[in-house]
Amino acid sequence: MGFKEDIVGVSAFCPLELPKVADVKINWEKLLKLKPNYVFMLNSQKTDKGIRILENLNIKYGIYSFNSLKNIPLCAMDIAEILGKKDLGKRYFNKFMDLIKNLPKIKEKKAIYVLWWEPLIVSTSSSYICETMALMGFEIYPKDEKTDFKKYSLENLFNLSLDIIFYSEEAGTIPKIIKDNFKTYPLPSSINRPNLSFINYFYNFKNENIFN
Amino acid sequence: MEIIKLNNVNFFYNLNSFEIKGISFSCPEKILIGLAGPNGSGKSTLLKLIAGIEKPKNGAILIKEKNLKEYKAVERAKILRWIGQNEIGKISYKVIEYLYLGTFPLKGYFGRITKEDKERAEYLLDYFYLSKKKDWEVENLSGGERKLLQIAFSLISSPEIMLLDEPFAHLDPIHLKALFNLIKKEKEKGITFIISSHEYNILKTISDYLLLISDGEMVCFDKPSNIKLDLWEKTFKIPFVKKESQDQLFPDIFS
Amino acid sequence: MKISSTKLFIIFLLFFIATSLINLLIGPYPLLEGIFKKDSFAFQILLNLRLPNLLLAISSGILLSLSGGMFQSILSNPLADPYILGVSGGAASFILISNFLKIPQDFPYNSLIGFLGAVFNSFLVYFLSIKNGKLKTTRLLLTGIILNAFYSAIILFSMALLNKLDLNRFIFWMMGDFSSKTLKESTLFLILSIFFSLPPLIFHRGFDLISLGTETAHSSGLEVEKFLIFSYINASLLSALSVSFIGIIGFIGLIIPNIIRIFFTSEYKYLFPLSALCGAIFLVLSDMLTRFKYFQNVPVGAISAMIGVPFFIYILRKNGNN
Repeated sequence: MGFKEDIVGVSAFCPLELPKVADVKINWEKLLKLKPNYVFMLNSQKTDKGIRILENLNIKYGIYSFNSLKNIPLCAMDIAEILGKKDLGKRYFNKFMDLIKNLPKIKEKKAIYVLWWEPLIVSTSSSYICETMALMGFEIYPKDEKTDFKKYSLENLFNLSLDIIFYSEEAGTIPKIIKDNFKTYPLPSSINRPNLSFINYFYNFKNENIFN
Repeated sequence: MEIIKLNNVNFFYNLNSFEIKGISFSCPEKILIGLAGPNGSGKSTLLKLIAGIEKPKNGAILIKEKNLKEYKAVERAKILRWIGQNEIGKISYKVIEYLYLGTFPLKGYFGRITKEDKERAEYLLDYFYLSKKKDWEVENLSGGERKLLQIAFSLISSPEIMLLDEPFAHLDPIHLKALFNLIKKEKEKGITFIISSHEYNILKTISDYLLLISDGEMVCFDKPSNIKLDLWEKTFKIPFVKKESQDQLFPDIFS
Repeated sequence: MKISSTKLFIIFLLFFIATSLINLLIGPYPLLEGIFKKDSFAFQILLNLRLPNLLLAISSGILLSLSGGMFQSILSNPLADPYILGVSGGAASFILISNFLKIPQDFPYNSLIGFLGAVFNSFLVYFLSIKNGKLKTTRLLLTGIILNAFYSAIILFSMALLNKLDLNRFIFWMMGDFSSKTLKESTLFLILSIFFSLPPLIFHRGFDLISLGTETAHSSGLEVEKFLIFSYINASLLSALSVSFIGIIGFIGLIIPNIIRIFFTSEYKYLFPLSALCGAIFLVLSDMLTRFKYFQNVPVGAISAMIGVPFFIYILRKNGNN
């Protein structure tokens, strides 16, 4: 949205070269040392104590969770509104929706997205990446899960008659049994971050590219 | 007054083997009773019963004409203290602090150590040649010194009855003599002693009454001079002979 | 030791005050400077971050070392420790099971459930250890150890079924965590801790007598059975309170009272207050370490065990013949 210059601190998962003030937890003292005017955090990072401090200091904040695709543009709108740039948020929202609507279509294929091989952890159909892939025409397993990832067994993979197994670049080495029996395709780690670039990545998806 | 009275006291851990079988006796106050018998005859168990550590399965134990069961712990400890065979463990208390702990029956949780307590402690330590070691840690004393300290630990609260289980073990002649002298003095002040030992010659000399037990049963309760040789033999199941020893050494511990 | 115990107590107290003050002042944020400049950020950090942490560290140090000292006395075993008796396992199992019963997992629910689990464990250990109406302390210790193995199984089983968020929260709880409590909550914790810590400090003579052996204690006028039961309940409550508020911080209960015993005194009149102070100092220092660069976000329980265990092994080897 164009706020890059105003960011003073990020979480350890962010590629920006700025002070890291959080990983799964927020280090409040480090965060406050940067004297931010606004704090945006994940729902899983929020603590009552932290919120109280922000409120006492009159620092505006936003709490988000990216457990579905539509949350991403909604979150952007909210952040823009808190920052007082409502129009920027709206523009981002529309751009995002346009991108989603015009995703390339793939013929119906059964697929699964592996986050980690050992132990086997897969992204479920309710994660935003898999939702995006579903919009492209993939049938993503496992379905109807409440969480956005799940522990799985190799045997389960064989039961699903999958056309393709996607796996994250960071997932470790592929077991031989999978490599020999399935069509596999690596996805870059950058798509594990909720921003426009992960949608842009899917724009390069064509049947010919993946299934040949 | 009969200060201790046992009425047909039985005790067992399981029904097949009685530890104590039908023991009855009563004893006047301010005397020393020697409790003698062979190993495993039930001396320690009998003392624990009188101390209230073990409860008799049937029969009654009366202390100052009141059933032992009805005493509260502190009331009981004011009258009656028991010293077991076990040594004080390896504890790093100062000798004097350990002694003060013995005043618990009088002081409870909160009572302060008074000048009298201090004098009494000094007196007891002095008697056992421990005055110079009062700031030592208990674990650095010798085995015999620790035994005497245990006795002092109980005497400090001036009880009316002292039950001593094998107090003579580990003691050299000079400490034995000190112990006997103290016992004599405390007895005169009004303490009743029951002392168990398998050193029957010592018991025979110092006791006013002797209680002989064998296999948990009482053989006799009488003045030492009245007890004939056959009762000693019955108790210890071995022939006894009386002889003037020629070449054995006897330190003068009773004078 | 030539130094008198009262003097020692004063030295410990001064050291405790000093470490507490340093704990408040050290951290990534330049606090002292901020306070002089009346910087509102500094006040927030002092009041809502560092002070609650400090209070939690002090309270749990007191609770854990006192309950360790009490268990060691009443079980007459210097290796007794609240966690060996299954207190933490019981609390952890209850918290995990409550996760599946959809009970909310934030304060005060998680603390209450952890507390219930710890107390439940203590009763279980107690009743499983009674035979023919008599309590054998060795059996108590063994029962605790066996139950602990059972809890480990429950914990591993449930952790495999937990989702990401709950698992994260649980793991931090397992490792002992000061960072999530507010000032109000930690003040409440301190008050409760002091309240439950009073009995051992007041009735110390009973523990002295117990350490001479139960029979000697009995003959010295102590109501041994009653005293043991009350102390067992008291010590269990202390450790349950600590585990429910700040999770599992191991080794304090084992190490601190033993250090006092080995280096200074085994008189409970001094051992309890010195242990309480020493436990508090130890955790205050551990908490301070979590604010330094390489220890950031490392749970305090891990730090205390990392310092404590090698230190304890050193002491054991040095004093092996005692």
